[in-house]
Amino acid sequence: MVQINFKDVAKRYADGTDAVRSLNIDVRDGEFLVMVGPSGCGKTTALRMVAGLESITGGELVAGNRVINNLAPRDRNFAMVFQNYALYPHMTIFENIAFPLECEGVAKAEIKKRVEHVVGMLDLEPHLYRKPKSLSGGQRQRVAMGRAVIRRPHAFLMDEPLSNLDAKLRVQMRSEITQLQHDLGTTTLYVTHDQVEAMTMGDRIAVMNKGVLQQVGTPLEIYERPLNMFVAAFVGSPSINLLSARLERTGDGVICVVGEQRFGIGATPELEAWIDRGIVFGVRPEDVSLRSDAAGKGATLKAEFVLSEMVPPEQLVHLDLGADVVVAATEEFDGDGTPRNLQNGKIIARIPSEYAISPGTGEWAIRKGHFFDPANGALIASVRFDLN
Amino acid sequence: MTAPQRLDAEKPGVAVPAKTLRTRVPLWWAIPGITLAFLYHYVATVAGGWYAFTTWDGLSDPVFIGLDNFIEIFSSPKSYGALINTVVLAFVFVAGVNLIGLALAVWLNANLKLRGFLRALFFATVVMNPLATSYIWSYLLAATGPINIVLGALGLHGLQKVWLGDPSVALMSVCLVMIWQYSGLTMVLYLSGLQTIPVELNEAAEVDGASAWRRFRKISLPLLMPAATVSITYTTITGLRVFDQVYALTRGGPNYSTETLATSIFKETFVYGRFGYGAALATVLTALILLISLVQILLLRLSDRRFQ
Repeated sequence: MVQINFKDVAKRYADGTDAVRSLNIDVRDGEFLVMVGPSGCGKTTALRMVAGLESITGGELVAGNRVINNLAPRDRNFAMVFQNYALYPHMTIFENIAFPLECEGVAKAEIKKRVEHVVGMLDLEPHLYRKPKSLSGGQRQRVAMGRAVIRRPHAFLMDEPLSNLDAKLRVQMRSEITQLQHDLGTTTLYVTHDQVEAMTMGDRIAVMNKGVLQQVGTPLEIYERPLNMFVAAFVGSPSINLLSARLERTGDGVICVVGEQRFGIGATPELEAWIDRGIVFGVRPEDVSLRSDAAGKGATLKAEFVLSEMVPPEQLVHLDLGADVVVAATEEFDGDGTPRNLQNGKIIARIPSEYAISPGTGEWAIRKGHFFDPANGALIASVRFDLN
Repeated sequence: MTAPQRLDAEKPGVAVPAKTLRTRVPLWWAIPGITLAFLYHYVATVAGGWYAFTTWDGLSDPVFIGLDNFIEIFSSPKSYGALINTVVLAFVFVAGVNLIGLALAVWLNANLKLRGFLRALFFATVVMNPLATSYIWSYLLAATGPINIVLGALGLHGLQKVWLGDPSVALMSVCLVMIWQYSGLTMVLYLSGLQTIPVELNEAAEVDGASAWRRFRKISLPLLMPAATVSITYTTITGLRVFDQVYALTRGGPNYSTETLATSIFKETFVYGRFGYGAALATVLTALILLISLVQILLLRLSDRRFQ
């Protein structure tokens, strides 16, 4: 077990492409840290740098108080699980799992004992003398785990190990890997592009985009208090609704103007500087609810019902705030991490599936919102609205 | 024949399935080619096999003599020596050309700056005319040739030899030229094999703690078995029937020390006019190639299966 520290770690390729820029993360001893982000965000490169499969062009990578920048992969004592498992096709399952021990020169009797223990743990006994090609995806995944576990490494490095499995098996393997990591207490660095995997497996999550670390935190921190629009939009499904808004002072309070609509947001010191300026207002689908469901006044938006997608026990309600409302397209972010704008006024609400929505325009309550700087996407404040 | 059938088949109710038509037509088209190949290859081979049991000068009628030609091959020191030379030459050639080709492939599979150029450079020998290159080598290996001059200049006088004139080294000199000529080919075969091995396997082994040598021995080499099967079989056949290089370099000399079955066949048939004896030698060579290749393919397939 070991602590892994990224200290301004960078990777620049010969053609000048920056895959990872000044990465600073402290992976604690025994922690399960998930690096998540879209394709090309640099998460796999960062993991490969830890494994020693990719050279580090800047900063320091420290494992257990030792700088390992130039240490050969075989001398790092990390075990890696690859996306396609990388099982040796010409070896039996026994030989695959035993391979790391053979490399260490462990005695044959000891190898046999330890392989038997691991295959017992992973439920692979019936397949011990079969070749990988005769196993199912889930079984291959377990063999890859077995090969990683057997040498009792300082850390596990996992590169999207579940992405080749079907949805059902992925859920099962997710819990198996989490359980195994908890049982062994081995520091684990896990890379995925799947936010559900990240949220369910990680003790902490590191969100990356375009080679830059966006935020590190527990799943709840990341979800409840995203540090910028990218994190807010990347985590959560359906994605957060990001609306162009404007803050205005009225009497003793502050109101938020979205298109032609206005609602009070109470006194929030962080927002004082943004009065009479454009701002991005983000609201998660589950924070939009039927007005009748939220008694009292609070933040309210009038919206026209468009359609409802039933996903019991929930439904996703598509609403139209009016063509004058600018909604950010969260699936497509510009180079600086700010979303591209769409002038379509469409947002999504997530409410219980038993509610029947009548067609036409209705009032929708907002429970909680996040305000972002439209220039750099940074979070200004998260506000919980008083519904009573 | 076929055209009316196609027209009929397009009419509703005419029972000529399109599938039958599709398979029957190419067969008809292939018949002239198959006939030519059959006559040219197999009939000629079988006829050659029959001449092996005759004595024939190519002009008069052949006379059946039973196994006399074969008895002579295995009892005459000259022909038996050619048989041994053929096997030795093939063995050393196969070992050398495959080891060097494999080494080149491993080297040129790495991320080198001049990789493309070096690959082309090493493969260039394969496309050169064997006769032309052998004449160049006979100049290089001559008693007063550049190789001996360089050895002398380096003070290695003990290593200077009459490379093609000394019976103790002539066969190995021929072998050297053949290895030089064909190592580019085996390099390409092994290179293609290496490129089918997923990079992750070597990376996984590296992270698992394997040294470079262990990775090569335990991962790359077993996965190269399909390429090795092709390369070893092809070079064995090439080694057993080599003619051009031997004839251009030594003509089988000195004192028959580089005589092979292929050069013997040529001499006995076209120089001495012993068509029957030449055919018997050719039969022995064909049987040898078939036997060794079959055994080799079986062994390689067995080990290949073990690794898959």
